[in-house]
Amino acid sequence: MWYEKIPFYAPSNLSEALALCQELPDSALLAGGTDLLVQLRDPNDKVKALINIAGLPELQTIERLGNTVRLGAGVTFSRFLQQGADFFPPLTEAVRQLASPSIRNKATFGGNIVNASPAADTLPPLYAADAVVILQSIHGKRRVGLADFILGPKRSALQTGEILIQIEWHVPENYIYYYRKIGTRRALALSKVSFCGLYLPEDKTIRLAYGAVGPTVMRALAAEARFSKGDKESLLAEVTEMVQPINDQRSTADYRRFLCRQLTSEFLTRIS
Amino acid sequence: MQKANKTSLQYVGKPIARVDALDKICGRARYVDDLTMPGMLYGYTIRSTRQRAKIISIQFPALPADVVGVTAKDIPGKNYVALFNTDQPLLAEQVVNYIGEPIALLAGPDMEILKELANQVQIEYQEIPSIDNLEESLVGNKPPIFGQDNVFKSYAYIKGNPAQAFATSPTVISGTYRTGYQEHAYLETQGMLAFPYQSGVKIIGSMQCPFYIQKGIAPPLNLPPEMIVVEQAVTGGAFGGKEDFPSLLAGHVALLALKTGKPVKMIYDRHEDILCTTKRHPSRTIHRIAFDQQKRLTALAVDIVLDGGAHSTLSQVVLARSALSAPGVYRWANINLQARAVATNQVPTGAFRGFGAPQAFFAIEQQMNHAAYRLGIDPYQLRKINLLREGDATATGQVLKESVGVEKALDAVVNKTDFVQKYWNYRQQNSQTGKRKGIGLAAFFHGCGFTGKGEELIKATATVDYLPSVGLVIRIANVEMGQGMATVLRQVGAEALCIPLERTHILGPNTAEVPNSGPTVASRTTMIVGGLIYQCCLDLKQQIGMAAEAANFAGVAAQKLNPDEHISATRHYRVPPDVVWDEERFVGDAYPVYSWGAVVVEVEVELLTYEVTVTKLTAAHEIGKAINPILVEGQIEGGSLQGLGYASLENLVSHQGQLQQVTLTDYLIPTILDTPEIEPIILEEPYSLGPYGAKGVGEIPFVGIAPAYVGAVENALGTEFFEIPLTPEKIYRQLHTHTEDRS
Ligand SMILES: Cc1cc2nc3c(=O)[nH]c(=O)nc-3n(C[C@H](O)[C@H](O)[C@H](O)COP(=O)(O)OP(=O)(O)OC[C@H]3O[C@@H](n4cnc5c(N)ncnc54)[C@H](O)[C@@H]3O)c2cc1C
Repeated sequence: MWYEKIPFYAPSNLSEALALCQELPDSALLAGGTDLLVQLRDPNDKVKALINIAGLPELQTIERLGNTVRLGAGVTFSRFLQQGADFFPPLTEAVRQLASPSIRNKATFGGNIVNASPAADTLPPLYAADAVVILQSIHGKRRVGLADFILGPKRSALQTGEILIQIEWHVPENYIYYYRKIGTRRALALSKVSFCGLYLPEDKTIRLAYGAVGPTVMRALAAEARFSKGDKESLLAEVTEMVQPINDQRSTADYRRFLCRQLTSEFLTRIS
Repeated sequence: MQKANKTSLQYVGKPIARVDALDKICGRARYVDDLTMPGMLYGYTIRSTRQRAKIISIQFPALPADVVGVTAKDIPGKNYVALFNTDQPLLAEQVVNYIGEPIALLAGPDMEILKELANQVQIEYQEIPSIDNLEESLVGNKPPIFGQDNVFKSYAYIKGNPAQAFATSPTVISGTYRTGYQEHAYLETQGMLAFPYQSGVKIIGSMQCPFYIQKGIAPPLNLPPEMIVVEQAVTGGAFGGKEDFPSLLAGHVALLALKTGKPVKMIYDRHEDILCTTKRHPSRTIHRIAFDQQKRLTALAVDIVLDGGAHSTLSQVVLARSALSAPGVYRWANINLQARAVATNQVPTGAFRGFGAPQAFFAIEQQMNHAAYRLGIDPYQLRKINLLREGDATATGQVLKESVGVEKALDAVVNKTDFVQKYWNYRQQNSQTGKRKGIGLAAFFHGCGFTGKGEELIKATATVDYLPSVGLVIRIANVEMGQGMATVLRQVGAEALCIPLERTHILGPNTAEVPNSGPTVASRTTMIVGGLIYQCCLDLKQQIGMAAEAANFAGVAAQKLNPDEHISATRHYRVPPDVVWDEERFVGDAYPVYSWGAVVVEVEVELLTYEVTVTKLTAAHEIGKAINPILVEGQIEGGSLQGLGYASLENLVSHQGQLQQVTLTDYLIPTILDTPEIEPIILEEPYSLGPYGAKGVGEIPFVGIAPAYVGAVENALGTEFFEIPLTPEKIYRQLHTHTEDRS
């Protein structure tokens, strides 16, 4: 098959992987491969080598300490549903509706984030949680806010030689959430729109994150700021102004904009 | 044929497991992609990137010694694939008419290298203004693609005095209905293998109609048909998608095999397959119906246009079914009907389960749903008033003499679902949040066997042999493709001869070994070919001196025949003498008999998002006799779900000739999680000329789903809809651009 012609490296631990990453600049990291293998079929793709990071032990963290959740980039969605389902229910709901059982058995959080699709389903809950990603190279580690890490469709701030190793966030106290994925069918459907709303009763603030309605997943910061004023209509107007949906093969811009308004409105009703 | 006595049947009517199931479950079945031969090459197709253009030049790159390239110039015979017309070239020569039209072919040992070489082929084009859709095709301000007027075929007739009837009827309901493309998404993509054989060529592949291929590619290969041997490989559910298209692909691999002298295999990947193989015809139907004071239908005026794409393929017969289905299951004294299939610069459309009927039934059944609403009567009652019954004449004047189960089917689904009560309850809903429920109804038929003179032209032939050592051997050209043909026809043979099922066999279809019993299409195999096999079995009995009803065939045969002696019988299908069709005037018996159906769809519509969930689908089908009830249920469930996909989510649109959803990531069909509870109800009103009373069931489960679905959404929302697929996007657009709410 075509992919057998691409040199394949199978490091056994993170430091080997980091070294390979540094040495092989036109290589790609292969986690579950559920995005990468599809993309590599494009004859214009110039990947010269594959470095397999699926199963690397250092990327398998799955823990909650106090209010802090840490997820290894190599954690598959299936494992998360088995071992982390109660960490952060909005994320659990997103993962449950993502793809199909067979894809969830292979696909990882790291792949979903680095692939940086505007329709990536783990992102709205993670944006709403103000998650941070931890990147490592042979030179050391750095922490970057998720929203700063993702730059645009299929573009991230990952630098050559870096591997995303962990995602970390604080689960707020007593929050109320509303998560919805709108797809064409009930499984194996990319989002037309996805939405995650969080209400934090302690400080009476909300967080609103939208998927598939712009070049990246979007937080509606201006609309969030209007929440304290109590004017629902103007908040909803702010949301519909902010989102930048397009007409494409999956849906229409006007319907997507409508959904953003409707889902936000439903969230506000539920928390009032 | 005598009426079968239920209790005496041993095999017929029994839910026998499919004889092909085990091989498929165990992965032993060999599909064409599993086949290889020594020295086999791969084939690859170079396709048009233009919607409509003159080809100025074709320039191959320097080809390695083991790669061969061919263009239309290399075709030894005439450059067309023979079907009804000769307009579809095997390879485009002077012009291309759709994006994806084949222009040149490569064969070589390495697929990756072929793809790279294909990218380097230079084709110079000169654009011609293209015709994008059926409306543009009718306007006629661009050079025609087909004939003088772009019309592949048209039918028209006037019955009674429709103009006067419309003028004097108190209620007239009108609407313009649109249906979209549908992609078959068959189990495996198109694939074909060919190699030089004797002094001609042998073809093995995924197909429904071996003899269509033989006939279709004889002219371009310049070979007598017998020198083209065609054999079916294991084929999965094809839904009509492997009726006509495989002839084109078979022509390509055969051309390459003859040119290289080697076996050549070509398997499309899913993207290529969706891009360039046939689809269901998009349609536009302008519809008017009138009622008198008693809510009886008085007149019908209907204008159907089908988008046939760039070549005529099967459009004329698809259109005939549309025209014959357009009047629905009702009695009419006055009709003005026009139906046209037109050419556009789009991928050719072709056969797909239902074959023109689903588009027509969508229009008429939506008209009835809308009429019921406006007349303040429930949709069941309105249909009951107007329903065809035994002894009535159809729109074309065919008197329905027997086996007319539509009223039974309608009553069954309505009673089972408490339709009328729910319909009125749901009409009272006025909540603006949460969910609303809806229920919808449709009634329909499907003509069994070919339309009009089709069966007369094909003259299906079946042969059976009986050898005491082996049992019954059935020779037919019909194919198993997951629908259960092989099981059902063996049941018929086993029953007719009273021999064990294991002692019956069907020869794998191979044009050199079986007679032409016709293609596996048109809900015809069980009824027509099964009928021939039944007759052949009676002939065998007669040959050894047995009465038709006598049971101990194997015993008598063992006495009368030497162990290695065999007897055989052959039958040709004859259209019953009282079935008379006048194609010119569109009058008479359009089909030998009809299967009848009714379906109720129940939905919940979420007002927040306009997402629709189907909660229950109840389908009753009157099919004469279920030779194998579990397979019939399978057809009902599968056809219903495919119909829901067509009605609700299978969105395939073309923008400037470029299909927008060409992967299974973007072209979505329902998954098991989208599948509602489906309750199949099998009804049997035996057909006197069918084997054990059987008619057809392959297509009818699909035919009426769309209007029942849309009717249910209308019942929930109190708004009329006119187009499928009815996606949440379309519901949103309609509700937010038209403010008038009819509830
Ligand atoms: C049929 C199908 C359905 C799908 N449905 C959905 C869906 O509903 N919702 C959705 O969001 N997605 C969906 N996807 C997309 C995909 O499954 C997800 O994005 C998945 O999370 C990708 O993870 P992976 O491990 O397979 O990534 P891979 O394909 O292995 O990698 C993706 C990219 O990320 C890079 N990468 C991976 N891990 C790291 C790391 N640790 N550090 C740095 N770079 C890394 C790779 O180099 C590559 O560029 C679907 C895919 C398929 C094939």
